Amino acid sequence: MANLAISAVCNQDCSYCFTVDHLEAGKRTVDHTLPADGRFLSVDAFEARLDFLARSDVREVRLLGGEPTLHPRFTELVDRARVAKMGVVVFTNGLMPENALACLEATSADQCTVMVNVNQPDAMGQSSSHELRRETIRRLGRRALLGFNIYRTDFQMDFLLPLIAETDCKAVVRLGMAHPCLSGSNQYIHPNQYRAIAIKIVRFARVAAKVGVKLDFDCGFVRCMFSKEDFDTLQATGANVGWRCNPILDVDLKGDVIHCYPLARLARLPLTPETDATSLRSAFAERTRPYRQAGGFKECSTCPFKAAGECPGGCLATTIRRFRHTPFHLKVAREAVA
Amino acid sequence: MIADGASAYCCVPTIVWVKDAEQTILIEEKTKHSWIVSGENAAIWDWLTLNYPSERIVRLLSVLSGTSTEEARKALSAILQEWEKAGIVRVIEGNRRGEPGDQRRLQSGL
Repeated sequence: MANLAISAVCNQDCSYCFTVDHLEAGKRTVDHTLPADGRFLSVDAFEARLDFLARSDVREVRLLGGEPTLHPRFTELVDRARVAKMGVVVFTNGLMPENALACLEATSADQCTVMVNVNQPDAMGQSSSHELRRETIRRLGRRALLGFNIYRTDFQMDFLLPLIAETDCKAVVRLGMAHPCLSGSNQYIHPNQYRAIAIKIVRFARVAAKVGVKLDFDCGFVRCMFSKEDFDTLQATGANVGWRCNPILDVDLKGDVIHCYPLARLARLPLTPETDATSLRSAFAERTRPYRQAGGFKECSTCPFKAAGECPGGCLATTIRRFRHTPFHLKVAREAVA
Repeated sequence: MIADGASAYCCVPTIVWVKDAEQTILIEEKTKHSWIVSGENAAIWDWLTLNYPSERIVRLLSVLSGTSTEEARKALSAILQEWEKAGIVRVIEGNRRGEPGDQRRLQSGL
């Protein structure tokens, strides 16, 4: 798995967006006065990315941004991926141009998954865009899979169930928890809030299961946020529960590879004609290894789930943000030193 | 002010650390070398990061380890030298052999 960034611009401004450390502030919103070169991936560069995926034995092209469907040649990129016999996954906010929607609508559901990130209708001025998004999801039908990011404790997911029923999209909710980028400048969930969130997730999982909707956990959740009873309930509902934090590999517009957007500031490696996903993952794993001794909580380094390799201790960006430098000075008598 | 016959240590700028439930993890950010510190050494690291003066650290260490002040002073000195060798702390320029050094910086607490 590796994600290809094809657009640096977005038509939303979500407070929890973890691309803030990576996408320059001036490029995050649609500014058509900027030259397209800096904002969108060229078709030639896209072909080079496809070569990278092919030599990495990856048979799926995962497009993200910014908002990837705003790429002026989005349909051509999707066509090229299909010619290369690759499945297509698009990470979108659902507010896409008509030509992009028509292109995805024309792609069979077994070759294309559109992960539509949905915010609560009352959040961040979403009420007006909610209807547009609903129509997009309805047209995408089984190609669409809803994603929901938890970035505050007073979240509500109940609106997702009628949305799934009305639009006939996949009966799955991809559940994400907003993690901090290393600068901490986005809105995110603090580990102290995990338990409160877990209770609401379990409640929703029960309600969702009654109408045949399952949960699919994105990265960064931790095992200890759920009690044994919660965990059993999640499993009984068929939720795809996971505690992961691995190098996803996001390839940016410049051809640099990062571990993932939240860790964009930690390290970047150049994509060369020789590199493949395995070697890049190994390099990132090596660079992040010392930080992984810790976790998001101070108890993580002695946690049996972590020791057993069941849980990595949550999002590595959260862990790294626990580390600090302290510029202390200490005078000692030299006779003691000698 | 640094008296004659005193050395001054500071934290190497590329060292970051986190205090966990039963240990403290130190990482050198450039080399990614790491150390796990626990027990009395973790307590000493805590006190250093709180910028406690050496006499206070010696007194606390003496109580913690149940040893005399003099033994605690030697223990502190030994661990500082070990950490200096490891690249965790360094002697502030000009103070290794009692040279006139960085006194103004130390006095201002920077």
